[in-house]
Amino acid sequence: MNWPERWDQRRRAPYLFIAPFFLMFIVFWVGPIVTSIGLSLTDWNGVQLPRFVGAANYRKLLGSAEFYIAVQNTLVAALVYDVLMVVLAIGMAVLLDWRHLPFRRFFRASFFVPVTMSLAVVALVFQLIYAKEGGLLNQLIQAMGLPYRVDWLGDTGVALWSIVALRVWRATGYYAIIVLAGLQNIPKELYEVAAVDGATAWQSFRRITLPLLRPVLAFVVITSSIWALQLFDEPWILTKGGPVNSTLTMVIYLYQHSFQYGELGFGASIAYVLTMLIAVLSLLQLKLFGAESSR
Amino acid sequence: MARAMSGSLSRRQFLRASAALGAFGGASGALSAAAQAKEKISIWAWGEASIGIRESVEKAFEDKYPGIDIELTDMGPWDLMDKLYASLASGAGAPDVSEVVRRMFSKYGERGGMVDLTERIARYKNDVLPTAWMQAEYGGKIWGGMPDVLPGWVVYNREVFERFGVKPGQLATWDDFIAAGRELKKAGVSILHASVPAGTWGTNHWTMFLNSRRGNIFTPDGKVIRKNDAAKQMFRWYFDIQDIAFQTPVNDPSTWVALKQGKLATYTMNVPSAVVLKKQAPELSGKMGLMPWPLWGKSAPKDTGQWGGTLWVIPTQSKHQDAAWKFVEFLCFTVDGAVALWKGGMFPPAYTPALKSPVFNEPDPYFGGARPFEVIGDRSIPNFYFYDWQRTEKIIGDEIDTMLKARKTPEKAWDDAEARLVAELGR
Repeated sequence: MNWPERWDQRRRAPYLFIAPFFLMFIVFWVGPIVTSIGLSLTDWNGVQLPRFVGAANYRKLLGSAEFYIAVQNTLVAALVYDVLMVVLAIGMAVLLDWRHLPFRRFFRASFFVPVTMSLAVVALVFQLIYAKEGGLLNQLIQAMGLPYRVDWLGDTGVALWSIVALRVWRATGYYAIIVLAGLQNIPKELYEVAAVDGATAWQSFRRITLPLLRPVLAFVVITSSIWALQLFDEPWILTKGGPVNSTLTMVIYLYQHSFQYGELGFGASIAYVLTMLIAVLSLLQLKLFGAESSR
Repeated sequence: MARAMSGSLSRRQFLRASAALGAFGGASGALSAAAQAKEKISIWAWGEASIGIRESVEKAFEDKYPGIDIELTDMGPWDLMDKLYASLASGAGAPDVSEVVRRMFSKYGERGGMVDLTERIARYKNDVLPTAWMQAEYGGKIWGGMPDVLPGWVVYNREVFERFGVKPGQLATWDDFIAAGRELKKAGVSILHASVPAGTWGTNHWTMFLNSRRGNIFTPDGKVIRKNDAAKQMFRWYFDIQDIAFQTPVNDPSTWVALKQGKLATYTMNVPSAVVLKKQAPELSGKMGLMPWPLWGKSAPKDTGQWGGTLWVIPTQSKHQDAAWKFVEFLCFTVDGAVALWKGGMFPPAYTPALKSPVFNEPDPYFGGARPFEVIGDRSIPNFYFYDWQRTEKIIGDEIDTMLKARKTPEKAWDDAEARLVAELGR
């Protein structure tokens, strides 16, 4: 049997259906990823021809103090953001799932609003909230009679947490809706049986809700971690990575070198390190959730 | 009749219809050929320049060059710079003409990708203010048209000044200005704002003060100035004024609120920032006044600083380089172009013959009828040299912020900034 006969129409059809995705995936994902491996070994500035420099970009990266600040800021912000956001999202979802909650539909919609808002608008609002002079938060603090005036975005010890708080505010509603979908898939009979057996609400939550939510939580934690490790928009708009690198993240570091300083080869090496970091952390999280699920 | 009713055509009807169709086709073909004959140039610009192009430059240019159509794309300056850089890197997608941030230009100058305009622009050299000219030059070549200079001035709240008996004419020097500021501060009013945290934007605010004092960071050929006392003194000065300053990031909404509430008495900025102020605080119309940039001593030269400035370049990718040049020339080296940019965004022209136009000295009702060019007219802008500015402004901004948090003395902060500039820029 020759080749065309083997590839009869019936066998070819499924491949043809999925081909557009793979074609796009190869052109727009695999291609750039492979190309940028090569670029990370050059001193390409974007206009002139790239010159091979071996591992010099990676050596420069490992010798850069700012790179370690960026990694540290990114990891700390991601960890705090993830923990806060997941706890709040679960709490919010449980509240939204509570059938006695008045205006439940309204709250479901309104919690989702922050993620739909334009970041430019969000940034403007938070500039007014965080402003050192006359900002809402400082006015609240002074209204309480406290003698403090915090420089929310200008103090090196506070700015990163202000950015994290904004991120948590933006993302929690979105992930709460995902957790809510998971909650609604848990059979109600389980809670009824537990109630008959005398379980308290807390025991039901710990023994039924959390274990059955684990697959959903795994999705939430992994996707939000990836998002968190790519932290860029909020600190870039509000603080440009400052003051004094206190909100410098890996992606801002990448952006500065690639686009502002015109070091696209060096930028590619930063992108590779970031990709590796995300891959390793995602695998660890998958392993953690997988191991716990199989217990 | 029956045949006609059935819908079939006689030979005569067919010929008439064919002739009519042919005539219509010919006419529309001629029209489309005329449309095709028009050359279209794509232009990338931002903010006030975009407004100027849309509101007046486009019509004036197309009247002068009826064979050329403008297709304007408006985006933010940093977005534009990124997109332009990406299109130069990818070799496709660049416009025929692009506005670029002049102080960032050395990045493009040293890498190429732009049409060398040296020969075309050379004849205008004597008509362009030197401070704008030198910032378009790289490696002995001119890479873009320079339509504007952006001198600093002081916008003040007339009601606040009157309330405290401050007369702008008495604030001739920065010492006078600061002395008045100390009086205002006793009543909880700040006489000027300081860009804090500085970061990259605040560096440019500080640089405007340095520039007005004839300071520099680089030599004309791009070396970092060693033992730079002018910059060190300016760090000290900036540190010392903080107790009378309203500390706020550049263009932060709290600045406008403070101006409206009378908690901030002035706005020390470049001329086009007046457009931003008018948009952000329209209710202050008629209540604001203009005064020249104070001097650094009673007998000091009548200088001011500059923040900003644009350059209009033609990427080598452009397939319409001649038409693109006509646009750059019109915008940068004609009175009509200069007037249009002034009307759109209050860009003072670098092309000096344009200043003969009465438009530049019309009274501005927002500033109580003050005439802008009477205020800035006697001020000069000393030459200032920008190299690797995106790195430079970050290094200096970091050190200003460290200094303002009292973690370093101003002198130590400048020494560290200078050492970092030398080490990190290799200049």
